[in-house]
Amino acid sequence: MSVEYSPVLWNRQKKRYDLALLGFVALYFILFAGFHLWLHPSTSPESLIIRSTATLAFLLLHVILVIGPLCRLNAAFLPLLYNRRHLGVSMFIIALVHAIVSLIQFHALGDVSPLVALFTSNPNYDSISQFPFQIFGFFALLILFLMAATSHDFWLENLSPRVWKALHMMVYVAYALIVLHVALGVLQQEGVPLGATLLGVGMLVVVGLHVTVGLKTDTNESKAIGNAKEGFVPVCSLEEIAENRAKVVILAGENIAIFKYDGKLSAVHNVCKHQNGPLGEGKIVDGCITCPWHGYQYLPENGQSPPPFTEKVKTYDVRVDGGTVYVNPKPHPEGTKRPPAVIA
Amino acid sequence: MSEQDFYIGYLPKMPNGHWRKIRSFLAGVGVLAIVAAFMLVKGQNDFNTASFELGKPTVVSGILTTNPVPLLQVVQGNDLSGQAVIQSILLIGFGKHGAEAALDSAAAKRKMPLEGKLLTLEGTLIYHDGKTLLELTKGPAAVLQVEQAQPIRRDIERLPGYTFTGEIADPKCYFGVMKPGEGKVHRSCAALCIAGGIPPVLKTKLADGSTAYLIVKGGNGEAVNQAVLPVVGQAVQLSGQVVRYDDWLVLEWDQSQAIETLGSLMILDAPMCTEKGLAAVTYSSN
Ligand code: HEM
Ligand code: FES
Repeated sequence: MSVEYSPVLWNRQKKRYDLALLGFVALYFILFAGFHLWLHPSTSPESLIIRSTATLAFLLLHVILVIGPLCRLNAAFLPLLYNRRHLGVSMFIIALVHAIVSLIQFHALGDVSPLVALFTSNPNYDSISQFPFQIFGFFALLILFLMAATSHDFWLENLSPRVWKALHMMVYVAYALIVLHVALGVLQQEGVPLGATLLGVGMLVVVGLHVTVGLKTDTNESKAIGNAKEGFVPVCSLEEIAENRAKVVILAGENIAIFKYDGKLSAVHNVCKHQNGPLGEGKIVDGCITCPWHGYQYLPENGQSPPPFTEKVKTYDVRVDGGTVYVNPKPHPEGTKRPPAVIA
Repeated sequence: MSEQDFYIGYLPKMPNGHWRKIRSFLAGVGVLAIVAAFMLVKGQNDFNTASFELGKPTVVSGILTTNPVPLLQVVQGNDLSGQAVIQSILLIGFGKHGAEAALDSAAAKRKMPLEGKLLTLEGTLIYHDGKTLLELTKGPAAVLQVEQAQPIRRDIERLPGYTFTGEIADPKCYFGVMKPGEGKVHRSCAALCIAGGIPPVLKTKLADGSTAYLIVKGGNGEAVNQAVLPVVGQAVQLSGQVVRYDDWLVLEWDQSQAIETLGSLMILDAPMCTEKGLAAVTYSSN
């Protein structure tokens, strides 16, 4: 929700996030190099670089992929999501080092250019076990590059959130490609029992968490608790909504967050304009609905971000009657001011 | 989650409840780093002790022969019967190339053939398991000196035909430049090296457990670099005549018999065909 774009809007949380990330990366490299030189003293520096960067990037990708579901399961993990972009860009850079050193090591200084060699040096495209596994790595890297390059909010705005989100969902394609890259590469050669086990555990964690969240997420229509009156559907009792918090309902396909604050009720679309964060899991802070993901804010009465920001979400009409909350699922255009329901 | 426990990234302080959760997550990830680094390293096969003296040039003198491949024959003294003991150093070009281009260009510059001459070469040594190679790192400039020399008596012996199981590797990487310099992971590189003129070498285990290295050529001694490309880095079976050229063995692959591939997972422990009626130990290079 910045008005101007700068590469990074630094703040204390981001600095601490990056410091922790840097610490993790350094710890991993030191440990990997230490173990590698200890257990395999006749290694070469290139092998050490190729393998430490490969495994670290893949490990970070697992961390990145579990943050989303973890946050859905427990909001206390949200600080991990806040600066996930830096995690993603760091992972890309580490994977890039792996790819470049591999390309130089295995494909350069031949009769053809390294990029041509990447695709032609192993012609066994018709075999599974002999398939040129590097190709999978190459396309995964391409996806990671597109994601890292467009990770900034500038691109989010300019590509439109829908395109941006679709592009960033490709991370799952990249993950699958890297699984193939490893399974048809290193696992064909060595470390089969241990390597395959580690890969299996990693996949199980990623897939398992996503499935768990998928099963828990309710995308069904909410049940009305009584009969609708003039288009207004009774959804819950007043007590069910905590002060400055929201109740989320899905009515007629509309995903609605009903907030209670200052003796009033207002309803807005439950989807944040930034990256589709769940506004209904946010909180009213300083009079504004605050998104739990990155803190974008909206005024409850009109769904508009406070000036100078310009984001707007759809609004809905709310009523209270005898301690029951009613909402009309017919949306008003984004940023339309609607009078809040006053709690008597 | 209590009232105060709402996390907003751009505020200076994280709520305590979040911090407790994040702290345990970070601790978990830290432990994961330690365990993963150890397990991943532990899961790797050990590397061989092959060496590549990168950045450390060596000067050697010997007689050049290009039969069967470019070799520098260095006399290492005489044996008990007064015969010269010869070590043949396999010559390789810079990068993924054979030595021919560098040698041809040096010959053209000097306007004389180099075959049979006493050459002083500067290059980078590659060695492993009793075999030595020299990379002509500086190309034609690697040839420092060319002198006339007495021809040395070659010890060339035709051995019986045989079917070998093993892996076709490029000797440059296998004998030292890369770790690992064989197998699936290295296969693209091996194919590029062999396509670039480095002679293919079949690595095979003998009945006595030792490893033999056979330069692969065609039935008429012709280069077969292109023909072996599709099976480089895989476990294969191929048949042919064996000829010993001093301290190198050459397998003259009978191209009428296609190379059979056995799948990559078997390379390391491929069962060796000791049962084919020939004492495989005959092929031991020592
Ligand atoms: C052009 C792109 C790429 C190329 C040419 C490439 C090449 C390679 C090669 C040659 C190996 C085997 C290394 C060895 O065992 O010594 C390897 C392994 C690996 N690569 Fe890639 N790669 C590329 C992209 C990627 C990307 C984007 C990732 C994402 C994280 C990745 C992750 C891995 C992993 C996890 C391994 C297994 C490491 C091990 O345990 O040895 N690669 N890659
Ligand atoms: S999704 Fe980023 S602030 Fe709402």
